[in-house]
Amino acid sequence: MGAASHLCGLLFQNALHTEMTTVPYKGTAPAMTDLIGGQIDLMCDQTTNTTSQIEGKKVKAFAVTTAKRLTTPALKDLPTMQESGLKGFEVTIWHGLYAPKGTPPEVLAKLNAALKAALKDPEFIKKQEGLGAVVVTDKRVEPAEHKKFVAAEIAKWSPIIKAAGVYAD
Amino acid sequence: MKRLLLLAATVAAFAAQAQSFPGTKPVTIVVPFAAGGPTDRVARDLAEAMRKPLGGVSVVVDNAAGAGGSIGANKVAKAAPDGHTLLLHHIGMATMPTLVRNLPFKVESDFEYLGMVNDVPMTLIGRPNLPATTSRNWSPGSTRTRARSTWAMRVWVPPRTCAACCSRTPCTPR
Repeated sequence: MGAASHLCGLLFQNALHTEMTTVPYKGTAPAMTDLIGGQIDLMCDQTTNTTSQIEGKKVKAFAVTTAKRLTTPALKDLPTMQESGLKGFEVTIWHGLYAPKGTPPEVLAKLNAALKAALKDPEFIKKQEGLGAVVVTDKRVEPAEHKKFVAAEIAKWSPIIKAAGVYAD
Repeated sequence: MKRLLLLAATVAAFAAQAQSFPGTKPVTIVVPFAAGGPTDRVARDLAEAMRKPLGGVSVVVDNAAGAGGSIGANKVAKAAPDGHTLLLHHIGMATMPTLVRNLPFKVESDFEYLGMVNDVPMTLIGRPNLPATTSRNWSPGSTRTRARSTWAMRVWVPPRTCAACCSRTPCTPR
Protein backbone atom coordinates (compact mmCIF):
# COMPACT_ATOMS: atom_id res chain seq x y z
CA MET A 1 0.00 0.00 0.00
CA GLY A 2 1.28 3.43 -0.86
CA ALA A 3 3.77 2.08 -3.39
CA ALA A 4 4.07 3.74 -6.78
CA SER A 5 1.79 1.19 -8.49
CA HIS A 6 -0.86 1.80 -5.89
CA LEU A 7 -0.53 5.58 -6.20
CA CYS A 8 -0.82 5.37 -9.97
CA GLY A 9 -3.96 3.27 -9.59
CA LEU A 10 -5.44 5.77 -7.14
CA LEU A 11 -4.73 8.66 -9.49
CA PHE A 12 -6.30 6.69 -12.35
CA GLN A 13 -9.53 6.06 -10.41
CA ASN A 14 -9.52 9.68 -9.32
CA ALA A 15 -9.15 10.89 -12.92
CA LEU A 16 -11.96 8.63 -14.11
CA HIS A 17 -14.22 9.41 -11.17
CA THR A 18 -14.74 5.73 -10.74
CA GLU A 19 -14.00 3.14 -8.12
CA MET A 20 -12.11 -0.07 -8.73
CA THR A 21 -11.19 -2.87 -6.41
CA THR A 22 -7.62 -2.56 -5.21
CA VAL A 23 -5.88 -5.91 -4.88
CA PRO A 24 -2.75 -5.53 -2.73
CA TYR A 25 0.27 -7.66 -3.58
CA LYS A 26 3.60 -8.06 -1.84
CA GLY A 27 5.27 -6.79 -4.97
CA THR A 28 4.55 -6.17 -8.60
CA ALA A 29 6.14 -9.48 -9.69
CA PRO A 30 3.30 -11.70 -8.32
CA ALA A 31 0.78 -9.09 -9.51
CA MET A 32 2.22 -9.36 -13.03
CA THR A 33 1.82 -13.16 -12.92
CA ASP A 34 -1.84 -12.77 -11.99
CA LEU A 35 -2.40 -10.08 -14.61
CA ILE A 36 -1.01 -12.35 -17.33
CA GLY A 37 -3.14 -15.18 -15.93
CA GLY A 38 -6.25 -12.98 -16.08
CA GLN A 39 -6.99 -12.98 -12.33
CA ILE A 40 -6.77 -9.21 -12.20
CA ASP A 41 -7.76 -6.67 -14.83
CA LEU A 42 -5.42 -3.73 -14.68
CA MET A 43 -2.10 -2.72 -13.33
CA CYS A 44 0.12 0.31 -13.37
CA ASP A 45 3.82 -0.40 -13.07
CA GLN A 46 7.17 1.05 -13.99
CA THR A 47 8.60 0.42 -17.43
CA THR A 48 11.50 -1.46 -15.87
CA ASN A 49 9.07 -4.28 -15.07
CA THR A 50 6.57 -4.00 -17.92
CA THR A 51 8.55 -3.40 -21.12
CA SER A 52 9.46 -7.03 -21.80
CA GLN A 53 5.89 -8.21 -21.08
CA ILE A 54 4.52 -5.54 -23.42
CA GLU A 55 7.06 -6.49 -26.06
CA GLY A 56 6.13 -10.16 -25.73
CA LYS A 57 2.42 -9.25 -25.95
CA LYS A 58 1.78 -11.04 -22.68
CA VAL A 59 -0.28 -8.07 -21.49
CA LYS A 60 -2.36 -5.40 -23.15
CA ALA A 61 -0.66 -2.02 -22.99
CA PHE A 62 -2.82 1.10 -22.90
CA ALA A 63 -0.69 4.11 -22.17
CA VAL A 64 2.44 5.60 -20.69
CA THR A 65 2.15 7.95 -17.73
CA THR A 66 4.70 10.53 -18.85
CA ALA A 67 3.92 13.93 -20.36
CA LYS A 68 5.57 12.89 -23.65
CA ARG A 69 5.70 9.57 -25.46
CA LEU A 70 8.74 7.45 -24.76
CA THR A 71 11.48 6.70 -27.26
CA THR A 72 12.02 3.06 -26.21
CA PRO A 73 11.26 1.02 -29.37
CA ALA A 74 8.79 -1.29 -27.63
CA LEU A 75 6.89 1.62 -26.09
CA LYS A 76 7.11 4.40 -28.66
CA ASP A 77 3.67 3.70 -30.13
CA LEU A 78 1.92 3.88 -26.77
CA PRO A 79 -0.06 7.10 -26.30
CA THR A 80 0.33 9.15 -23.15
CA MET A 81 -2.51 9.20 -20.62
CA GLN A 82 -3.06 12.85 -21.59
CA GLU A 83 -3.45 11.93 -25.27
CA SER A 84 -5.92 9.31 -24.08
CA GLY A 85 -8.14 11.99 -22.63
CA LEU A 86 -6.97 12.17 -19.03
CA LYS A 87 -5.78 15.74 -18.79
CA GLY A 88 -2.80 16.32 -16.52
CA PHE A 89 -2.37 12.62 -15.74
CA GLU A 90 1.31 12.24 -15.06
CA VAL A 91 3.06 9.81 -12.73
CA THR A 92 6.73 8.94 -12.72
CA ILE A 93 8.88 7.40 -10.05
CA TRP A 94 11.30 10.29 -9.80
CA HIS A 95 14.47 10.27 -7.72
CA GLY A 96 16.15 13.21 -6.01
CA LEU A 97 19.23 13.87 -3.89
CA TYR A 98 19.14 15.57 -0.48
CA ALA A 99 21.48 16.69 2.30
CA PRO A 100 20.71 17.49 5.94
CA LYS A 101 19.45 21.02 6.63
CA GLY A 102 22.29 23.38 7.50
CA THR A 103 24.92 21.93 5.16
CA PRO A 104 27.24 24.85 4.23
CA PRO A 105 26.42 26.53 0.89
CA GLU A 106 29.93 25.88 -0.52
CA VAL A 107 29.49 22.16 0.16
CA LEU A 108 26.02 22.17 -1.40
CA ALA A 109 27.41 23.92 -4.48
CA LYS A 110 30.11 21.26 -4.85
CA LEU A 111 27.58 18.44 -4.44
CA ASN A 112 25.21 20.00 -6.95
CA ALA A 113 28.07 20.43 -9.45
CA ALA A 114 29.03 16.77 -8.94
CA LEU A 115 25.42 15.70 -9.46
CA LYS A 116 25.18 17.71 -12.68
CA ALA A 117 28.43 16.17 -13.92
CA ALA A 118 27.12 12.68 -13.09
CA LEU A 119 23.89 13.32 -15.00
CA LYS A 120 25.95 14.14 -18.10
CA ASP A 121 28.19 11.09 -17.75
CA PRO A 122 27.48 8.91 -20.84
CA GLU A 123 28.11 5.74 -18.83
CA PHE A 124 25.56 6.79 -16.19
CA ILE A 125 23.00 7.77 -18.85
CA LYS A 126 23.43 4.40 -20.56
CA LYS A 127 22.93 2.50 -17.30
CA GLN A 128 19.84 4.54 -16.45
CA GLU A 129 18.35 3.94 -19.88
CA GLY A 130 18.96 0.25 -19.29
CA LEU A 131 16.79 0.53 -16.16
CA GLY A 132 14.06 2.27 -18.17
CA ALA A 133 14.80 5.56 -16.45
CA VAL A 134 15.08 8.97 -18.09
CA VAL A 135 17.90 11.11 -16.68
CA VAL A 136 16.78 14.60 -15.72
CA THR A 137 17.99 17.25 -18.16
CA ASP A 138 15.57 20.05 -17.27
CA LYS A 139 15.79 22.75 -14.63
CA ARG A 140 14.88 20.32 -11.82
CA VAL A 141 18.63 19.67 -11.46
CA GLU A 142 18.67 23.07 -9.75
CA PRO A 143 18.03 22.87 -5.98
CA ALA A 144 15.28 25.52 -5.97
CA GLU A 145 13.39 23.85 -8.83
CA HIS A 146 13.81 20.45 -7.19
CA LYS A 147 12.25 21.80 -4.01
CA LYS A 148 9.42 23.42 -5.95
CA PHE A 149 8.73 20.16 -7.77
CA VAL A 150 8.58 18.13 -4.54
CA ALA A 151 6.23 20.70 -2.97
CA ALA A 152 3.96 20.39 -6.02
CA GLU A 153 4.04 16.60 -5.75
CA ILE A 154 3.11 16.76 -2.06
CA ALA A 155 0.16 18.99 -2.95
CA LYS A 156 -0.85 16.62 -5.76
CA TRP A 157 -0.75 13.35 -3.80
CA SER A 158 -1.91 14.46 -0.39
CA PRO A 159 -5.65 14.75 -1.20
CA ILE A 160 -5.60 11.53 -3.24
CA ILE A 161 -3.99 9.51 -0.43
CA LYS A 162 -6.25 11.08 2.20
CA ALA A 163 -9.37 10.38 0.14
CA ALA A 164 -8.33 6.76 -0.25
CA GLY A 165 -7.53 6.53 3.46
CA VAL A 166 -4.32 4.57 2.95
CA TYR A 167 -1.42 4.87 5.35
CA ALA A 168 1.94 3.16 5.50
CA ASP A 169 2.52 3.53 9.25
CA MET B 1 37.56 37.88 24.33
CA LYS B 2 38.69 34.34 24.84
CA ARG B 3 35.25 33.13 23.84
CA LEU B 4 35.25 35.37 20.78
CA LEU B 5 38.61 33.98 19.71
CA LEU B 6 37.36 30.45 20.16
CA LEU B 7 34.29 31.28 18.09
CA ALA B 8 36.45 32.82 15.37
CA ALA B 9 38.66 29.74 15.36
CA THR B 10 35.63 27.45 15.13
CA VAL B 11 34.18 29.44 12.24
CA ALA B 12 37.53 29.44 10.47
CA ALA B 13 37.92 25.70 10.94
CA PHE B 14 34.39 25.13 9.67
CA ALA B 15 35.01 27.36 6.64
CA ALA B 16 38.27 25.55 5.93
CA GLN B 17 36.47 22.22 6.14
CA ALA B 18 33.82 23.46 3.73
CA GLN B 19 36.55 24.74 1.40
CA SER B 20 38.29 21.41 1.30
CA PHE B 21 35.13 19.31 0.98
CA PRO B 22 35.03 16.40 0.39
CA GLY B 23 38.65 15.85 1.44
CA THR B 24 39.43 12.19 1.98
CA LYS B 25 36.41 11.28 4.10
CA PRO B 26 33.92 9.14 2.13
CA VAL B 27 30.54 10.48 1.09
CA THR B 28 27.66 8.18 2.05
CA ILE B 29 24.44 8.06 0.06
CA VAL B 30 21.65 6.67 2.24
CA VAL B 31 19.04 4.67 0.33
CA PRO B 32 15.86 4.21 2.37
CA PHE B 33 15.15 0.86 0.68
CA ALA B 34 16.72 -2.59 0.53
CA ALA B 35 19.85 -3.37 -1.45
CA GLY B 36 19.20 -4.72 -4.94
CA GLY B 37 15.94 -2.82 -5.44
CA PRO B 38 15.39 -0.24 -8.19
CA THR B 39 16.24 2.79 -6.00
CA ASP B 40 19.38 1.06 -4.74
CA ARG B 41 20.48 0.55 -8.34
CA VAL B 42 20.01 4.22 -9.14
CA ALA B 43 22.03 5.13 -6.03
CA ARG B 44 24.89 2.79 -6.87
CA ASP B 45 25.14 4.09 -10.43
CA LEU B 46 24.99 7.65 -9.15
CA ALA B 47 27.63 7.00 -6.48
CA GLU B 48 29.99 5.76 -9.15
CA ALA B 49 29.28 8.69 -11.45
CA MET B 50 29.76 11.28 -8.67
CA ARG B 51 33.09 9.94 -7.48
CA LYS B 52 35.17 11.59 -10.21
CA PRO B 53 33.54 15.04 -10.03
CA LEU B 54 34.03 14.89 -6.25
CA GLY B 55 37.76 14.59 -6.71
CA GLY B 56 37.96 10.82 -6.55
CA VAL B 57 36.67 10.46 -2.99
CA SER B 58 34.88 7.18 -2.32
CA VAL B 59 31.09 7.42 -2.48
CA VAL B 60 29.35 4.57 -0.68
CA VAL B 61 25.72 3.46 -0.44
CA ASP B 62 24.08 2.76 2.92
CA ASN B 63 20.74 0.91 2.82
CA ALA B 64 18.44 1.93 5.67
CA ALA B 65 15.08 0.43 4.74
CA GLY B 66 11.74 0.53 6.56
CA ALA B 67 8.55 2.45 7.28
CA GLY B 68 7.92 3.52 3.70
CA GLY B 69 11.39 5.03 3.32
CA SER B 70 11.05 7.23 6.39
CA ILE B 71 13.73 5.47 8.47
CA GLY B 72 16.51 6.23 6.01
CA ALA B 73 15.22 9.77 5.45
CA ASN B 74 15.16 10.37 9.21
CA LYS B 75 18.73 9.15 9.48
CA VAL B 76 19.85 11.81 6.99
CA ALA B 77 17.66 14.54 8.51
CA LYS B 78 19.47 13.97 11.82
CA ALA B 79 22.99 13.48 10.34
CA ALA B 80 25.82 16.01 10.62
CA PRO B 81 25.26 18.66 7.92
CA ASP B 82 28.76 18.37 6.47
CA GLY B 83 27.96 16.97 3.03
CA HIS B 84 29.20 13.50 3.92
CA THR B 85 25.74 12.02 4.45
CA LEU B 86 23.24 12.35 1.61
CA LEU B 87 19.84 10.88 0.87
CA LEU B 88 18.60 9.43 -2.39
CA HIS B 89 14.84 9.08 -2.27
CA HIS B 90 12.09 8.59 -4.85
CA ILE B 91 8.51 9.86 -5.17
CA GLY B 92 8.07 8.59 -1.60
CA MET B 93 9.69 11.84 -0.47
CA ALA B 94 6.47 13.58 -1.51
CA THR B 95 4.02 10.91 -0.35
CA MET B 96 5.63 10.22 3.06
CA PRO B 97 4.18 13.35 4.70
CA THR B 98 0.67 11.98 4.00
CA LEU B 99 1.29 8.22 4.07
CA VAL B 100 3.24 8.18 7.31
CA ARG B 101 1.51 9.94 10.17
CA ASN B 102 3.77 11.35 12.91
CA LEU B 103 6.76 11.57 10.62
CA PRO B 104 9.75 12.42 12.87
CA PHE B 105 11.05 15.09 10.45
CA LYS B 106 9.76 17.64 7.97
CA VAL B 107 10.29 16.93 4.28
CA GLU B 108 10.13 20.58 3.32
CA SER B 109 12.31 22.11 6.04
CA ASP B 110 14.73 19.44 7.34
CA PHE B 111 16.61 18.93 4.08
CA GLU B 112 18.71 20.81 1.58
CA TYR B 113 17.54 19.94 -1.93
CA LEU B 114 20.43 19.05 -4.21
CA GLY B 115 18.63 18.36 -7.48
CA MET B 116 16.73 15.60 -9.21
CA VAL B 117 18.27 12.55 -10.80
CA ASN B 118 15.78 10.74 -13.03
CA ASP B 119 12.20 9.84 -13.87
CA VAL B 120 11.10 6.24 -14.25
CA PRO B 121 7.96 6.20 -16.41
CA MET B 122 5.02 3.92 -15.69
CA THR B 123 2.64 2.11 -18.00
CA LEU B 124 -1.01 1.22 -17.66
CA ILE B 125 -1.43 -2.39 -18.67
CA GLY B 126 -4.28 -4.87 -18.63
CA ARG B 127 -4.78 -8.61 -18.73
CA PRO B 128 -4.35 -10.00 -22.25
CA ASN B 129 -8.07 -10.61 -22.81
CA LEU B 130 -9.37 -7.38 -21.32
CA PRO B 131 -12.24 -6.23 -23.59
CA ALA B 132 -11.17 -2.56 -23.68
CA THR B 133 -8.95 -2.55 -26.71
CA THR B 134 -7.13 0.73 -26.78
CA SER B 135 -6.92 3.70 -24.55
CA ARG B 136 -9.32 5.36 -26.99
CA ASN B 137 -12.03 3.31 -25.34
CA TRP B 138 -12.02 5.81 -22.56
CA SER B 139 -10.87 8.75 -24.53
CA PRO B 140 -11.60 11.61 -26.62
CA GLY B 141 -14.81 13.48 -26.80
CA SER B 142 -17.21 12.39 -24.12
CA THR B 143 -14.38 11.38 -21.82
CA ARG B 144 -15.99 11.27 -18.42
CA THR B 145 -19.19 9.34 -19.01
CA ARG B 146 -17.63 7.13 -21.55
CA ALA B 147 -14.71 6.42 -19.33
CA ARG B 148 -17.03 5.46 -16.55
CA SER B 149 -19.03 3.09 -18.72
CA THR B 150 -16.03 1.54 -20.42
CA TRP B 151 -14.08 0.82 -17.31
CA ALA B 152 -16.59 0.54 -14.55
CA MET B 153 -18.86 -1.71 -16.54
CA ARG B 154 -16.62 -3.68 -18.73
CA VAL B 155 -14.09 -4.29 -16.10
CA TRP B 156 -15.69 -4.23 -12.76
CA VAL B 157 -19.39 -5.04 -13.01
CA PRO B 158 -20.31 -8.72 -13.34
CA PRO B 159 -21.31 -9.69 -16.92
CA ARG B 160 -24.99 -10.10 -16.09
CA THR B 161 -25.31 -6.50 -14.89
CA CYS B 162 -23.13 -5.36 -17.71
CA ALA B 163 -25.46 -6.71 -20.38
CA ALA B 164 -28.20 -4.46 -19.05
CA CYS B 165 -25.92 -1.44 -19.04
CA CYS B 166 -24.73 -2.09 -22.51
CA SER B 167 -28.02 -1.36 -24.18
CA ARG B 168 -27.45 2.31 -23.47
CA THR B 169 -23.70 2.72 -23.44
CA PRO B 170 -20.88 2.10 -25.85
CA CYS B 171 -20.01 -1.00 -23.86
CA THR B 172 -19.36 -4.41 -25.35
CA PRO B 173 -20.46 -7.31 -23.14
CA ARG B 174 -17.84 -9.90 -22.33
